[in-house]
Amino acid sequence: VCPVGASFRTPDGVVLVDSERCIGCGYCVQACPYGSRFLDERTGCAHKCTWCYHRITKGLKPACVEVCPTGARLFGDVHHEDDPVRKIIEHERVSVLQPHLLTEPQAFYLGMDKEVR
Amino acid sequence: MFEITGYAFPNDVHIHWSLMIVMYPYITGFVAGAFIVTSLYHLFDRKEFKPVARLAMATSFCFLAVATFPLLLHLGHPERGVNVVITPNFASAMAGFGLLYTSYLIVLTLEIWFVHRFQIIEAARRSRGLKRLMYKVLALAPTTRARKRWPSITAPSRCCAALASRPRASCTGMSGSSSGRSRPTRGGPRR
Repeated sequence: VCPVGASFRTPDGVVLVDSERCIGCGYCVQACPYGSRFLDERTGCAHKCTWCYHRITKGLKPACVEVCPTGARLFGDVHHEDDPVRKIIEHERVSVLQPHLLTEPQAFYLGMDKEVR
Repeated sequence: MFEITGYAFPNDVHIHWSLMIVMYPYITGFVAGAFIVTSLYHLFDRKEFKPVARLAMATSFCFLAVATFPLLLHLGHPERGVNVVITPNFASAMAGFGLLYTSYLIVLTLEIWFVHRFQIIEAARRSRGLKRLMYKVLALAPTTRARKRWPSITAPSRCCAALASRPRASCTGMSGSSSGRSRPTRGGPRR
């Protein structure tokens, strides 16, 4: 929905916002089915999780994966044959947010169909 | 795969678009209404709108020129607002709006220019110096009246007027206006 094409997908599959082009209209914030976008008051632009793009392009893990004390967050490459995250997605019970929208999100959730007790 | 229900995402409960976005349709209402009134006279030859036709045209243009201001003020980066027209993403409805708005502005500007061209040329002849240069630039041509060109320039609007006033004789109306109209006429439709 971006009117100026500031929102784009990198060749490695990460969706990013070009803050040099973003006009800050908030259209993507309204449209996002995952509620993952927000307008930053300081920059006047829309922002979202970048999967720590500056880190993953250097072979590091995203900061939240790195520091999570219980290992609840994992990050990996699904195109890689023997990647642990790929094996989890293949063999465990995972689901995505808003599956009926068929948007093929790349964030998978383990055991989301269980109730919180 | 299953669906989560009863969960609200932040953008479901918080509306980012505010009063400025409401201002825009209010202003654009003036634009569209005035444009219809002026078109009824200049394009469709409804004589009863003649007294207000030019005022309505100016109203339409003035409000159209400022209608984007509330929208721009609402952006995080108002100075980049023109990028919607310069580098549009055609999958976006907002970019489509930008292109429609710009084409509306172009059509209205052209209409104003065609209707006021005689006054501009005459003002250029009367005035001197810088004012004359300004009017000459506005006229986009040497300050001759070029009467014989008028029938061809106003042919589309004449066709529309002919179609509107005489639906059954539309073929004759169109051929009559495009071919042998030798009588020199003033700009705009018949008076």
